[in-house]
Amino acid sequence: MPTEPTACRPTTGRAPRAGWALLGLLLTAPCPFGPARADELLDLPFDDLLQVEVASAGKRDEQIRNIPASVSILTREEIARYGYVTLEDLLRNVPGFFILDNTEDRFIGNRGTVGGGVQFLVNGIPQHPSRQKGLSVPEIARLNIPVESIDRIEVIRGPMSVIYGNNAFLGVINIVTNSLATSGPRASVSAGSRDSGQLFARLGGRARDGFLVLNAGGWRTDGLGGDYADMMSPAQLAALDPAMHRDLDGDLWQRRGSLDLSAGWRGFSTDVRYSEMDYGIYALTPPFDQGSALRLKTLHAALGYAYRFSDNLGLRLTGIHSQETYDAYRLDLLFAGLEGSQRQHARRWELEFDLHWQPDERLSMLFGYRWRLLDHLDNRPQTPPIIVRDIQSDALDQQDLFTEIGYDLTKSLRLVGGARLTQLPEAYRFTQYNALDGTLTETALPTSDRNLINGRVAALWSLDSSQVLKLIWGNAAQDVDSTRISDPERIETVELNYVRTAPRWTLSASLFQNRTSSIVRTIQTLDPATGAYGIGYDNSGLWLTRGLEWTTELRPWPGVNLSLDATWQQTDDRRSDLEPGYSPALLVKLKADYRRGDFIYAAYAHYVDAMESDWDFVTGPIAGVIERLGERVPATWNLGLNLRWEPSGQGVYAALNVSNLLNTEIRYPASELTNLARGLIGPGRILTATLGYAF
Amino acid sequence: MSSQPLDGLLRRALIRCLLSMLMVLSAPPAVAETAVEPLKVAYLYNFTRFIDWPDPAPGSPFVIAVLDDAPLAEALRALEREHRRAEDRSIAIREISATDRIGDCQILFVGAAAQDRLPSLLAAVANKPILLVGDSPGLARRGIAINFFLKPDILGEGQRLRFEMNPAALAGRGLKVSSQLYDVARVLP
Repeated sequence: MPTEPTACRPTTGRAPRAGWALLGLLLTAPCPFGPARADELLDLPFDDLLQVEVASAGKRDEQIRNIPASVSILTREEIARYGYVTLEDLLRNVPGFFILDNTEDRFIGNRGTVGGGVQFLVNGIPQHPSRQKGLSVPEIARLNIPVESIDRIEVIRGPMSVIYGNNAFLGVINIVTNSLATSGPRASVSAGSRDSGQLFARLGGRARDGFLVLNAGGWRTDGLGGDYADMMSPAQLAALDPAMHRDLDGDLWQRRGSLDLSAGWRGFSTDVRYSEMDYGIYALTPPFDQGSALRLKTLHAALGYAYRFSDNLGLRLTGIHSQETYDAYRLDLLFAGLEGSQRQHARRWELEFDLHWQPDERLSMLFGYRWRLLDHLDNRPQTPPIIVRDIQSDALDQQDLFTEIGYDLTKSLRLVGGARLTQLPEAYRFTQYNALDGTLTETALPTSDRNLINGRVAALWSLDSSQVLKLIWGNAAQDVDSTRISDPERIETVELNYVRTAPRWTLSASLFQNRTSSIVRTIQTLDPATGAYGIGYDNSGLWLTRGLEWTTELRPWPGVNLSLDATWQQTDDRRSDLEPGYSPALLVKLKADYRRGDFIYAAYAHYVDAMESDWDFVTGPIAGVIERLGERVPATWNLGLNLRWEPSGQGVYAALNVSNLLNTEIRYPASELTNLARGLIGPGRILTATLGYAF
Repeated sequence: MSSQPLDGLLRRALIRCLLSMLMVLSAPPAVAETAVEPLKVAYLYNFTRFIDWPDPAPGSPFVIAVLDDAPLAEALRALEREHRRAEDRSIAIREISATDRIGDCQILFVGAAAQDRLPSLLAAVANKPILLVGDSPGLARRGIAINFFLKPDILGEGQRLRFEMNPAALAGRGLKVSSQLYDVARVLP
């Protein structure tokens, strides 16, 4: 056992000074990370030796081969090589992914669909639900994770509702921030264009029976800029009030802070994560004064316990509480002097039991139960004289039973099948008080089918030790936030995935088809009597997407890594025969890096094809008239460079990153909130310098 | 009670709490995760505590021979460096690459590259008091007494080193194996 450090004896000294001394010791003490030495293992009791986990260099390739889905894994080393500044930057360079910006939110898209369909996990803990009835809370808070804190990202494509429930619609992204085997305590500081800057620190350590990791980070930027004359149509420009801002400069600032703590002791684990974002948004019109601003606060707290009855039987219990507050504390739009706000809030309570059983070597089973309660669902838009309402939803109780069974039919063929039964609430109930006219409205939206079943079947055929062919069928559900539609959206996917791993290269190719149904549509109906349009909703939308994903990684020479990823997809709207909005046909990602001595030189590029904005379907006397929210935005290439200096064994590192090196004009298609007809202009060239030290 | 002693108590409690945290964080290096070679070394070293070999010649070392697995042989040399003992004898590591050089040893580790020569190897050590250990799929069924394998954790948290035992491969060698070893092994029928 270590001797008690003399400097920290509790009999003398003032507490704050002792605290700083302890912090210093934690940062400067030799770090007990990395593989254990043989001499330490030799003295362990045999029973303890049996519990030691084996670090495996081939784990990444094994996961890519063995998970019954199309999978990408990014390691800390890869993330550092390319120097991504934010999680958005990182995800833009993940095969098959693209991200759209509407200033309030970031919409993550893949396989032809965008927004809300990816379930985020942090250290395996599902993050706050992205879709909740009656609320319009953006999911940008899921992206408020400092890149420096990320040890690994696992991206699983395709419907995963069987394991993760509703909203794991298009895939799952698990962000690991507590792997001390990957990286230990460190601190870094960054500064860059657009007055951006970042601070990050990690503390942590391991003992024989536990570990503790604390990540803290903050980021700021002046955000996007540009003249509205370059983004609006002539008609929009002509309608502007002369007192409105003429450019975005300074209106889309962002401040982000996050703190996450992950700890384990014997079978217990806890993950606590707090995120706060304060940022400017564009809302319907340019502002007059300080601009509209929004504060998002999210708290997650999870407590888990894992117990292994034997090597073949284990139980995991997880309790999660999360709450999210959306506070649009300053609304500056439409006309001068408007004072308004909107506050939304939601809480989640969740309890999950997972029983893993492997009765023999060929058979593995998972049985799970989840109870979830969503409560304190409030939405209070307060913008007189336009709207002053207090909308409250009754608490929503949901229960899920699920199972997944895997069986090795032969040495080379594994079958995996699973199902999840979700019992939805009997009805969604809302109470709305309209302060402008003093009316109180109570609405009950009954659920048409309370028992929702999702399934997933996969066959994994190992052609040899390096090749596997996966045939996958699965479906999933996604809650809709509309208060007029109760049924969730549905997706059904068939996929054929081939993976080949070799020492110098890896190939993954997927052919997939998605059938997305029950999509909520907005229909504008012209009332001939009044000449006004009324907005209606139905969920008859039906999309069919076919596509091909191709991922190749090459390691041709020591120190050199290359990758080429391309995703082609075609989405057809079976109800309108129109091209769906926000659905680029082709995405390409290229990466190359070279390590020589203490330097790593990296270049990366991503291509996003042209895409349309969303549209309103108009019915009535002029049936079939379609109005897009904005123009088609052109395809763009975004090239980035990163130079990293990392002298071996010294801890210090520095990086210089340039994103959008060629200053290409990137446009995001118009959306309901950011209705700039020619598209919002994205970030130009951004230079970021980082200096860090790994203790 | 005045507030000053209370402050002192609180301060001491805070410092003790921080000290406890420091002790946890600065505890000996973790053994929660390791490379596989040092773990195999620890298992092999532990096997010497659960198995009795026939009485040796006086003064002779306890020899662990490694056939065609240089990384493991290198890891095993930690036993020599640390002057560890097995059956109250000093431990000697011998790296070999041919079956005709097996000689006298108490444990023979058969590397994956030597699988093709398994029949001649088994013939060379037939009925000798040698514990044969391997780490390749199917070796236990082919006559190796203890065969390592990696087993994924039931809760999906990594993988752990396990071993299977073939009692038939131990029979007739004069080795006495503790039942505790069978308790934690996957025993072939």
